[in-house]
Amino acid sequence: MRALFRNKLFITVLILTVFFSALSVAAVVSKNRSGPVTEVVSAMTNPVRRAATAVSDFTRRLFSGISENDSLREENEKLRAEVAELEAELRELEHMEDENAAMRDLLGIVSEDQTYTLAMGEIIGRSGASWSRVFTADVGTSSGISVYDAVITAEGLVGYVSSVDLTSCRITTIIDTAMSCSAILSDCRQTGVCEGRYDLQKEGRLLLSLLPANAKPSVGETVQTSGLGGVFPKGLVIGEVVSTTMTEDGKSRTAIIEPKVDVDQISTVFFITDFKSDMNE
Amino acid sequence: MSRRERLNKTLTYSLLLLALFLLDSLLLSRVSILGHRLSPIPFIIIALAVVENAHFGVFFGLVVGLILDISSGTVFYWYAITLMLLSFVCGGFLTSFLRRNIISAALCSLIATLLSETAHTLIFLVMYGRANFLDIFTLTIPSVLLSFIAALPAIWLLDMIHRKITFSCRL
Repeated sequence: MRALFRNKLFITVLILTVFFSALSVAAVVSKNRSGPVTEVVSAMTNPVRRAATAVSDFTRRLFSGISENDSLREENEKLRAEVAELEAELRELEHMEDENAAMRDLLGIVSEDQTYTLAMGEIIGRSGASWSRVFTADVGTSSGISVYDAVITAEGLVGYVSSVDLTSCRITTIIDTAMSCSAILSDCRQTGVCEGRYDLQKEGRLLLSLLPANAKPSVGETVQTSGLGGVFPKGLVIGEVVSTTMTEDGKSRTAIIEPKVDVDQISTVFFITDFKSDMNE
Repeated sequence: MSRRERLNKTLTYSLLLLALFLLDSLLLSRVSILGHRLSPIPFIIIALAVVENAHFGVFFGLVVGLILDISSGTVFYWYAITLMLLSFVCGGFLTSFLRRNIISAALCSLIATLLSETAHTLIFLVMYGRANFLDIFTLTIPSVLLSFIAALPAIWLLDMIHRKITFSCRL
């Protein structure tokens, strides 16, 4: 035993273990889980990861482009027809919105409009661990990103910023086990908590829990952020209900959600660095 | 070990690990087999500690562990601490009972990574209600076994590099 404590390597390992354990505790306690060691290692490795991800994305797009040429052409024609239909619908809706605004003015109602301040980022790294779905993006505090900023694409919610340093940030995706946000069902208007689960992560899904026992979510119903707590803006699409079950104690209901965004396929994301809502004012 | 040998080995193992990280980034992080992600890098570090010595294992375990911690997003320094400790134990103690060869390297890396991943699932997932105890058997263990199979070629390459450099430096 004495020989062990005289061993230089053992003492080095012991000191480093205590040091990193202390950093872990500090990271847990502090709001931002990024510390000085993280900042340095992150700054050193980001350029390599950015380059590797660029090559990976290019290769993936090249091969998928070659194999999907015919189906892409067909989809293109179908989408052109849809765009034409939607443009006609949009013109009608713009007309209705003008009428609506005029009527609101008449009634003296102030319209509430959610406005977002957005920053754009590229995904430069994906976690290799089997138990996490965390991405690294190439924007940090220098671009106005802060912890708990919501991350979205045009389809819906991707996740939130869990740690940030000067030039990069880590995004905890909606299917990661650390994910938790207040959500609302679009039709029955019941609120619950969307959280990632280890067993559902494999299927790319997440759980909506703590729904009231009398809630009746229907399959295909959209789940959105509720805005409660003021962390995420309300109305961000999370996904759709796939199935529902009652908990074992019969006191609440849970639903499995299929996310709108395929987190494994995204490369560009938007960060909501500021938003105007009822909670913020 | 001479200084030249140590330098050669450090550089070569660094290049090997860099290549593995690139492979992980280009391919493995986007691929899942039977729903499981492949993560062979922790196996390589433990195998390095057994094939070489605990010093190499601890050094590379610390560096690689920090990078894995940052990319996994938790930043609890889990990989940094566990890879360092497991490399020290495997490279420093277990090799008193086992020979330093590719079979003991593969065996030690499998057992060490199984223990590490199971502990992680228990401490950070099961205790926080984000996983069930049975998920260890249905998710963690199969994932580790598949990653081990993916790591075997790299462990073989590691052993070959070790023997070539050791032989050439001692001529």
